[in-house]
Amino acid sequence: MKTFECPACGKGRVAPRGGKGRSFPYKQVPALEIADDFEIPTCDACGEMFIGAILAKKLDAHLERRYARLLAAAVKSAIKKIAEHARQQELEQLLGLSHGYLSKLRNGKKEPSPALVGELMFEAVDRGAQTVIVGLGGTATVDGGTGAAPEIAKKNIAMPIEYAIPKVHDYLVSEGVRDDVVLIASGGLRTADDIAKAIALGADGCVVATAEAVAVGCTHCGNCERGRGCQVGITTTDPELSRFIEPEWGETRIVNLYTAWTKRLRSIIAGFGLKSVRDLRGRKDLLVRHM
Amino acid sequence: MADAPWHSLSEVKALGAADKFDLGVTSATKRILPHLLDRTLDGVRRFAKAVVAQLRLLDFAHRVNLPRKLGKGFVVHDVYATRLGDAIAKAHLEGTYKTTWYVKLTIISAGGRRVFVLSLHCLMDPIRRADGTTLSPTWKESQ
Repeated sequence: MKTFECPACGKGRVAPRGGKGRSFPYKQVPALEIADDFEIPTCDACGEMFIGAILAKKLDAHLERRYARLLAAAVKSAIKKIAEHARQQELEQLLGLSHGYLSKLRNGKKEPSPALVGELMFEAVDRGAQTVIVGLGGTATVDGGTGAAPEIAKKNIAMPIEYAIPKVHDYLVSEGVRDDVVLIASGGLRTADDIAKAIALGADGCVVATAEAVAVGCTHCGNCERGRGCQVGITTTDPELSRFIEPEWGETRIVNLYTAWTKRLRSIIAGFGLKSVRDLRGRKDLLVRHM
Repeated sequence: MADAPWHSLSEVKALGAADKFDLGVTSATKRILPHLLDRTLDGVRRFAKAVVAQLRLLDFAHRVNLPRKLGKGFVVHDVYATRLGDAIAKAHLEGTYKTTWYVKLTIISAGGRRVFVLSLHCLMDPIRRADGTTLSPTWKESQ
Protein backbone atom coordinates (compact mmCIF):
# COMPACT_ATOMS: atom_id res chain seq x y z
CA MET A 1 0.00 0.00 0.00
CA LYS A 2 2.34 2.70 -1.26
CA THR A 3 -0.26 5.37 -2.00
CA PHE A 4 -3.98 5.51 -1.39
CA GLU A 5 -6.88 7.93 -1.40
CA CYS A 6 -6.96 10.08 1.74
CA PRO A 7 -9.63 8.67 4.07
CA ALA A 8 -9.80 11.96 5.95
CA CYS A 9 -10.61 14.39 3.14
CA GLY A 10 -11.25 12.25 0.04
CA LYS A 11 -9.46 14.85 -2.05
CA GLY A 12 -5.79 13.93 -2.04
CA ARG A 13 -3.50 10.94 -2.15
CA VAL A 14 -1.59 9.63 0.83
CA ALA A 15 2.04 8.69 0.26
CA PRO A 16 5.13 8.41 2.51
CA ARG A 17 6.63 11.88 2.84
CA GLY A 18 9.24 13.67 4.89
CA GLY A 19 8.93 17.29 5.95
CA LYS A 20 10.16 20.07 8.16
CA GLY A 21 8.88 21.13 11.57
CA ARG A 22 6.87 17.99 12.39
CA SER A 23 6.60 17.22 16.06
CA PHE A 24 4.80 14.89 18.46
CA PRO A 25 4.03 15.10 22.16
CA TYR A 26 6.16 12.39 23.77
CA LYS A 27 6.20 11.40 27.43
CA GLN A 28 6.54 14.70 29.31
CA VAL A 29 7.67 16.72 26.29
CA PRO A 30 4.84 18.67 24.64
CA ALA A 31 6.47 18.80 21.20
CA LEU A 32 9.42 16.63 20.23
CA GLU A 33 10.57 17.32 16.70
CA ILE A 34 11.20 14.44 14.34
CA ALA A 35 13.86 14.28 11.63
CA ASP A 36 12.98 15.94 8.32
CA ASP A 37 13.75 12.77 6.37
CA PHE A 38 11.57 10.51 8.52
CA GLU A 39 8.82 9.40 6.16
CA ILE A 40 5.20 9.28 7.34
CA PRO A 41 2.23 8.60 5.06
CA THR A 42 0.83 12.10 4.45
CA CYS A 43 -2.05 13.42 2.34
CA ASP A 44 -0.96 15.88 -0.35
CA ALA A 45 -4.26 17.77 -0.06
CA CYS A 46 -5.11 18.09 3.64
CA GLY A 47 -1.70 17.26 5.13
CA GLU A 48 -3.10 14.64 7.51
CA MET A 49 -0.60 11.94 8.51
CA PHE A 50 -1.47 8.32 9.30
CA ILE A 51 0.29 5.91 11.60
CA GLY A 52 -0.01 2.15 11.35
CA ALA A 53 1.35 -0.54 13.67
CA ILE A 54 4.83 -0.90 12.14
CA LEU A 55 5.35 2.82 11.69
CA ALA A 56 4.25 3.47 15.31
CA LYS A 57 7.04 1.21 16.59
CA LYS A 58 9.60 2.83 14.28
CA LEU A 59 8.48 6.34 15.24
CA ASP A 60 8.48 5.46 18.95
CA ALA A 61 12.09 4.31 18.69
CA HIS A 62 13.00 7.50 16.82
CA LEU A 63 11.27 9.70 19.41
CA GLU A 64 12.81 7.73 22.28
CA ARG A 65 16.31 8.45 20.96
CA ARG A 66 15.51 12.16 20.65
CA TYR A 67 13.87 12.20 24.09
CA ALA A 68 16.91 10.54 25.69
CA ARG A 69 19.19 13.13 24.07
CA LEU A 70 17.02 16.02 25.30
CA LEU A 71 16.78 14.63 28.82
CA ALA A 72 20.49 13.87 28.96
CA ALA A 73 21.27 17.46 27.96
CA ALA A 74 18.97 18.81 30.71
CA VAL A 75 20.49 16.53 33.36
CA LYS A 76 24.01 17.30 32.15
CA SER A 77 23.39 21.01 32.54
CA ALA A 78 21.85 20.55 36.02
CA ILE A 79 24.78 18.40 37.20
CA LYS A 80 27.23 20.92 35.75
CA LYS A 81 25.59 23.65 37.83
CA ILE A 82 25.67 21.57 41.03
CA ALA A 83 29.26 20.51 40.30
CA GLU A 84 30.39 24.07 40.96
CA HIS A 85 29.59 23.41 44.61
CA ALA A 86 30.15 19.67 45.06
CA ARG A 87 31.97 16.91 43.21
CA GLN A 88 29.87 14.27 41.53
CA GLN A 89 31.21 11.51 43.74
CA GLU A 90 30.38 13.51 46.87
CA LEU A 91 26.89 14.16 45.55
CA GLU A 92 26.31 10.48 44.94
CA GLN A 93 27.51 9.66 48.44
CA LEU A 94 25.32 12.40 49.88
CA LEU A 95 22.27 11.10 48.04
CA GLY A 96 23.09 7.48 48.83
CA LEU A 97 23.29 6.62 45.14
CA SER A 98 25.52 3.96 43.69
CA HIS A 99 28.82 5.05 42.18
CA GLY A 100 28.29 6.32 38.64
CA TYR A 101 24.51 6.73 38.97
CA LEU A 102 24.63 10.41 38.07
CA SER A 103 26.79 9.60 35.06
CA LYS A 104 24.10 7.23 33.85
CA LEU A 105 21.53 10.00 34.24
CA ARG A 106 23.80 12.39 32.40
CA ASN A 107 24.36 9.97 29.54
CA GLY A 108 20.65 9.28 29.17
CA LYS A 109 21.00 5.66 30.31
CA LYS A 110 18.77 6.28 33.28
CA GLU A 111 15.77 8.53 33.62
CA PRO A 112 15.15 10.71 36.70
CA SER A 113 11.83 9.45 37.98
CA PRO A 114 9.46 9.24 40.96
CA ALA A 115 11.18 5.91 41.68
CA LEU A 116 14.44 7.78 42.33
CA VAL A 117 12.60 10.00 44.80
CA GLY A 118 11.20 6.87 46.44
CA GLU A 119 14.68 5.33 46.64
CA LEU A 120 16.02 8.50 48.24
CA MET A 121 13.17 8.55 50.75
CA PHE A 122 13.62 4.95 51.86
CA GLU A 123 17.41 5.45 51.95
CA ALA A 124 16.87 8.41 54.27
CA VAL A 125 14.52 6.41 56.53
CA ASP A 126 17.03 3.51 56.62
CA ARG A 127 19.69 5.94 57.78
CA GLY A 128 17.51 7.05 60.68
CA ALA A 129 15.67 10.07 59.34
CA GLN A 130 12.75 10.92 61.63
CA THR A 131 10.80 12.79 59.00
CA VAL A 132 11.05 12.85 55.24
CA ILE A 133 9.97 16.00 53.48
CA VAL A 134 9.46 15.70 49.75
CA GLY A 135 9.14 18.95 47.86
CA LEU A 136 7.22 18.62 44.63
CA GLY A 137 8.24 20.95 41.83
CA GLY A 138 7.98 24.67 42.23
CA THR A 139 10.52 27.42 42.46
CA ALA A 140 10.57 27.08 46.23
CA THR A 141 12.22 23.70 45.86
CA VAL A 142 14.23 23.98 42.68
CA ASP A 143 15.71 27.44 42.34
CA GLY A 144 15.50 29.11 45.70
CA GLY A 145 12.22 30.87 45.09
CA THR A 146 13.17 33.12 42.24
CA GLY A 147 10.55 31.85 39.81
CA ALA A 148 13.38 31.49 37.32
CA ALA A 149 13.54 27.71 36.92
CA PRO A 150 14.73 26.93 33.40
CA GLU A 151 11.82 26.71 30.97
CA ILE A 152 12.97 23.28 29.82
CA ALA A 153 12.84 21.96 33.37
CA LYS A 154 9.42 23.43 34.06
CA LYS A 155 7.85 22.07 30.91
CA ASN A 156 9.67 18.82 30.23
CA ILE A 157 10.72 17.21 33.47
CA ALA A 158 8.56 15.46 36.05
CA MET A 159 4.81 16.11 36.04
CA PRO A 160 2.28 18.77 37.07
CA ILE A 161 1.60 18.81 40.81
CA GLU A 162 -2.11 18.21 40.22
CA TYR A 163 -1.13 14.73 39.03
CA ALA A 164 1.90 14.24 41.23
CA ILE A 165 0.39 14.96 44.66
CA PRO A 166 -2.42 12.37 44.52
CA LYS A 167 -0.02 9.82 42.99
CA VAL A 168 2.44 10.20 45.86
CA HIS A 169 -0.30 10.41 48.48
CA ASP A 170 -2.06 7.27 47.20
CA TYR A 171 1.24 5.40 46.95
CA LEU A 172 2.18 6.28 50.52
CA VAL A 173 -1.27 5.26 51.75
CA SER A 174 -1.03 1.93 49.90
CA GLU A 175 2.40 1.30 51.44
CA GLY A 176 1.03 2.10 54.89
CA VAL A 177 3.59 4.85 55.54
CA ARG A 178 1.44 7.92 54.90
CA ASP A 179 1.74 9.27 58.44
CA ASP A 180 5.50 8.72 58.50
CA VAL A 181 6.02 11.10 55.60
CA VAL A 182 5.36 14.81 55.39
CA LEU A 183 4.42 15.70 51.85
CA ILE A 184 5.05 19.32 51.01
CA ALA A 185 3.83 20.65 47.68
CA SER A 186 5.00 23.65 45.75
CA GLY A 187 4.75 25.00 42.26
CA GLY A 188 2.21 27.46 40.92
CA LEU A 189 0.56 28.03 44.30
CA ARG A 190 -0.59 31.61 44.19
CA THR A 191 -3.65 31.79 46.43
CA ALA A 192 -5.09 30.23 49.57
CA ASP A 193 -7.47 28.33 47.29
CA ASP A 194 -4.48 26.76 45.50
CA ILE A 195 -3.13 25.65 48.87
CA ALA A 196 -6.50 24.19 49.89
CA LYS A 197 -6.60 22.28 46.57
CA ALA A 198 -3.07 20.92 47.03
CA ILE A 199 -3.93 19.72 50.54
CA ALA A 200 -7.21 18.19 49.38
CA LEU A 201 -5.20 16.31 46.74
CA GLY A 202 -3.05 14.80 49.47
CA ALA A 203 -0.31 17.23 50.51
CA ASP A 204 0.36 17.91 54.20
CA GLY A 205 1.37 21.44 53.52
CA CYS A 206 2.80 23.77 50.94
CA VAL A 207 5.73 26.06 50.47
CA VAL A 208 5.46 29.18 48.40
CA ALA A 209 8.21 31.39 47.08
CA THR A 210 7.14 33.31 44.01
CA ALA A 211 3.99 34.64 45.71
CA GLU A 212 6.11 36.12 48.53
CA ALA A 213 8.55 37.64 46.07
CA VAL A 214 5.68 39.17 44.10
CA ALA A 215 4.19 40.53 47.36
CA VAL A 216 7.37 42.55 47.91
CA GLY A 217 7.45 43.85 44.37
CA CYS A 218 9.03 41.13 42.17
CA THR A 219 8.24 41.76 38.51
CA HIS A 220 9.25 38.23 37.51
CA CYS A 221 11.84 39.52 35.07
CA GLY A 222 14.05 36.46 35.63
CA ASN A 223 17.25 38.45 36.09
CA CYS A 224 17.88 37.32 39.67
CA GLU A 225 21.35 35.97 38.91
CA ARG A 226 22.46 38.42 36.26
CA GLY A 227 24.52 41.58 36.56
CA ARG A 228 23.91 43.47 39.78
CA GLY A 229 20.93 41.28 40.56
CA CYS A 230 17.31 42.12 41.13
CA GLN A 231 16.21 45.49 39.76
CA VAL A 232 13.75 46.01 42.60
CA GLY A 233 16.21 44.96 45.30
CA ILE A 234 14.86 41.57 46.35
CA THR A 235 17.58 39.13 45.25
CA THR A 236 20.65 41.32 45.24
CA THR A 237 23.72 41.93 47.35
CA ASP A 238 24.28 45.28 45.73
CA PRO A 239 24.04 47.88 48.53
CA GLU A 240 22.44 50.49 46.24
CA LEU A 241 19.79 48.18 44.82
CA SER A 242 19.02 46.59 48.18
CA ARG A 243 17.91 50.01 49.45
CA PHE A 244 14.83 49.75 47.21
CA ILE A 245 13.23 47.46 49.78
CA GLU A 246 12.50 48.77 53.23
CA PRO A 247 12.51 45.81 55.65
CA GLU A 248 9.49 47.13 57.58
CA TRP A 249 7.50 47.68 54.40
CA GLY A 250 8.44 44.20 53.15
CA GLU A 251 7.46 42.68 56.49
CA THR A 252 4.05 44.35 56.36
CA ARG A 253 3.44 43.08 52.84
CA ILE A 254 4.35 39.50 53.75
CA VAL A 255 2.24 39.63 56.92
CA ASN A 256 -0.69 41.00 54.89
CA LEU A 257 -0.28 38.18 52.37
CA TYR A 258 -0.33 35.44 54.99
CA THR A 259 -3.10 37.08 57.03
CA ALA A 260 -5.32 37.21 53.96
CA TRP A 261 -4.47 33.61 53.06
CA THR A 262 -5.13 32.39 56.60
CA LYS A 263 -8.57 34.03 56.63
CA ARG A 264 -9.43 32.52 53.25
CA LEU A 265 -8.15 29.08 54.24
CA ARG A 266 -10.18 29.20 57.46
CA SER A 267 -13.28 30.13 55.53
CA ILE A 268 -12.73 27.24 53.07
CA ILE A 269 -12.24 24.75 55.90
CA ALA A 270 -15.27 26.06 57.78
CA GLY A 271 -17.28 25.96 54.55
CA PHE A 272 -16.64 22.23 54.29
CA GLY A 273 -17.55 21.72 57.94
CA LEU A 274 -14.03 20.58 58.82
CA LYS A 275 -12.20 21.33 62.05
CA SER A 276 -8.64 21.71 60.80
CA VAL A 277 -6.40 21.72 57.76
CA ARG A 278 -5.38 18.19 58.65
CA ASP A 279 -8.96 17.02 58.07
CA LEU A 280 -8.73 18.37 54.53
CA ARG A 281 -5.75 16.19 53.58
CA GLY A 282 -6.53 13.78 50.78
CA ARG A 283 -10.20 14.81 50.53
CA LYS A 284 -10.28 14.68 46.73
CA ASP A 285 -14.03 14.14 46.98
CA LEU A 286 -14.39 17.79 47.97
CA LEU A 287 -12.86 19.02 44.72
CA VAL A 288 -15.30 19.88 41.97
CA ARG A 289 -14.34 19.84 38.32
CA HIS A 290 -15.59 22.81 36.36
CA MET A 291 -16.31 22.09 32.73
CA MET B 1 -29.63 11.09 9.48
CA ALA B 2 -28.70 7.44 9.00
CA ASP B 3 -29.45 5.28 12.01
CA ALA B 4 -26.88 2.57 11.33
CA PRO B 5 -23.16 2.65 10.67
CA TRP B 6 -22.03 2.42 7.03
CA HIS B 7 -19.15 0.15 7.91
CA SER B 8 -19.98 -3.08 9.70
CA LEU B 9 -19.05 -2.69 13.37
CA SER B 10 -18.06 -6.32 13.61
CA GLU B 11 -15.61 -5.86 10.72
CA VAL B 12 -14.25 -2.69 12.35
CA LYS B 13 -13.69 -4.62 15.59
CA ALA B 14 -12.12 -7.57 13.80
CA LEU B 15 -9.69 -5.34 11.90
CA GLY B 16 -8.92 -3.45 15.09
CA ALA B 17 -8.23 -6.66 16.99
CA ALA B 18 -5.93 -7.80 14.16
CA ASP B 19 -3.97 -4.52 14.43
CA LYS B 20 -5.05 -3.57 10.91
CA PHE B 21 -5.78 0.02 11.73
CA ASP B 22 -4.14 3.39 11.21
CA LEU B 23 -4.51 6.49 13.35
CA GLY B 24 -4.87 10.01 12.02
CA VAL B 25 -2.19 12.16 13.62
CA THR B 26 -4.10 15.43 14.11
CA SER B 27 -7.22 14.27 15.93
CA ALA B 28 -6.49 10.71 16.90
CA THR B 29 -2.90 10.84 18.14
CA LYS B 30 -1.71 14.27 19.25
CA ARG B 31 -4.90 14.98 21.16
CA ILE B 32 -4.80 11.70 23.06
CA LEU B 33 -1.14 11.54 24.00
CA PRO B 34 -1.21 14.09 26.85
CA HIS B 35 -3.99 12.14 28.59
CA LEU B 36 -2.38 8.71 28.52
CA LEU B 37 -0.40 6.96 31.20
CA ASP B 38 1.87 5.56 28.49
CA ARG B 39 2.62 8.63 26.40
CA THR B 40 4.05 6.83 23.40
CA LEU B 41 2.59 5.99 20.01
CA ASP B 42 2.40 2.38 21.08
CA GLY B 43 0.37 3.57 24.08
CA VAL B 44 -1.97 5.49 21.76
CA ARG B 45 -2.48 2.41 19.58
CA ARG B 46 -3.22 0.18 22.55
CA PHE B 47 -5.75 2.73 23.84
CA ALA B 48 -7.38 3.12 20.40
CA LYS B 49 -7.57 -0.66 20.07
CA ALA B 50 -9.26 -0.92 23.47
CA VAL B 51 -11.76 1.82 22.58
CA VAL B 52 -12.62 0.25 19.20
CA ALA B 53 -13.03 -3.15 20.86
CA GLN B 54 -15.63 -1.81 23.28
CA LEU B 55 -17.73 0.13 20.73
CA ARG B 56 -21.38 -0.91 20.57
CA LEU B 57 -24.06 -0.23 17.98
CA LEU B 58 -25.77 1.87 20.68
CA ASP B 59 -22.79 4.25 20.54
CA PHE B 60 -23.30 5.05 16.86
CA ALA B 61 -24.23 8.71 16.32
CA HIS B 62 -24.20 9.55 12.61
CA ARG B 63 -22.38 9.30 9.31
CA VAL B 64 -20.33 11.94 7.54
CA ASN B 65 -20.25 11.73 3.73
CA LEU B 66 -17.32 13.41 1.99
CA PRO B 67 -17.53 13.71 -1.79
CA ARG B 68 -14.55 12.04 -3.48
CA LYS B 69 -12.42 14.21 -5.69
CA LEU B 70 -10.40 11.43 -7.31
CA GLY B 71 -13.15 8.83 -7.70
CA LYS B 72 -16.93 8.66 -7.73
CA GLY B 73 -19.21 8.68 -4.70
CA PHE B 74 -18.30 9.46 -1.12
CA VAL B 75 -15.86 8.58 1.60
CA VAL B 76 -18.16 7.64 4.47
CA HIS B 77 -17.11 8.20 8.08
CA ASP B 78 -18.99 6.61 10.97
CA VAL B 79 -19.15 8.68 14.13
CA TYR B 80 -19.53 7.07 17.54
CA ALA B 81 -19.93 8.68 20.96
CA THR B 82 -18.93 6.26 23.64
CA ARG B 83 -18.57 6.05 27.38
CA LEU B 84 -15.51 4.09 28.41
CA GLY B 85 -15.62 1.43 31.06
CA ASP B 86 -13.67 1.92 34.28
CA ALA B 87 -11.19 -0.78 33.35
CA ILE B 88 -10.07 0.98 30.13
CA ALA B 89 -9.91 4.38 31.79
CA LYS B 90 -7.85 2.97 34.67
CA ALA B 91 -5.50 1.03 32.41
CA HIS B 92 -4.76 3.81 29.94
CA LEU B 93 -5.70 7.28 31.16
CA GLU B 94 -4.42 9.89 33.56
CA GLY B 95 -7.67 10.51 35.42
CA THR B 96 -10.39 7.90 35.46
CA TYR B 97 -13.09 10.54 34.94
CA LYS B 98 -12.12 10.94 31.27
CA THR B 99 -14.86 8.64 30.12
CA THR B 100 -16.74 10.26 27.24
CA TRP B 101 -15.05 9.96 23.84
CA TYR B 102 -15.75 10.87 20.24
CA VAL B 103 -14.66 8.32 17.63
CA LYS B 104 -14.73 8.84 13.88
CA LEU B 105 -13.58 6.02 11.64
CA THR B 106 -13.77 4.60 8.18
CA ILE B 107 -12.58 1.51 6.31
CA ILE B 108 -10.68 1.63 3.04
CA SER B 109 -9.68 -1.24 0.82
CA ALA B 110 -6.36 -0.14 -0.67
CA GLY B 111 -3.88 -3.01 -0.19
CA GLY B 112 -6.26 -5.02 1.99
CA ARG B 113 -9.02 -3.67 4.17
CA ARG B 114 -7.93 -1.40 7.01
CA VAL B 115 -9.71 0.75 9.57
CA PHE B 116 -8.68 4.39 9.73
CA VAL B 117 -9.44 5.99 13.08
CA LEU B 118 -9.59 9.63 12.04
CA SER B 119 -10.74 11.19 15.31
CA LEU B 120 -10.41 9.95 18.85
CA HIS B 121 -10.71 12.66 21.46
CA CYS B 122 -12.86 13.85 24.33
CA LEU B 123 -16.47 14.59 23.57
CA MET B 124 -16.67 18.35 23.07
CA ASP B 125 -20.45 18.85 23.09
CA PRO B 126 -23.50 16.73 23.89
CA ILE B 127 -24.08 14.39 20.97
CA ARG B 128 -27.33 12.71 19.99
CA ARG B 129 -26.87 9.07 19.14
CA ALA B 130 -28.87 7.20 16.53
CA ASP B 131 -30.92 5.39 19.16
CA GLY B 132 -32.21 8.72 20.47
CA THR B 133 -30.06 8.92 23.62
CA THR B 134 -27.75 11.86 24.21
CA LEU B 135 -24.24 11.55 25.57
CA SER B 136 -22.83 14.62 27.32
CA PRO B 137 -19.16 15.44 27.90
CA THR B 138 -17.79 14.65 31.34
CA TRP B 139 -14.44 16.37 30.80
CA LYS B 140 -12.58 18.82 28.57
CA GLU B 141 -9.09 18.49 27.14
CA SER B 142 -7.87 21.50 29.10
CA GLN B 143 -8.35 19.53 32.35
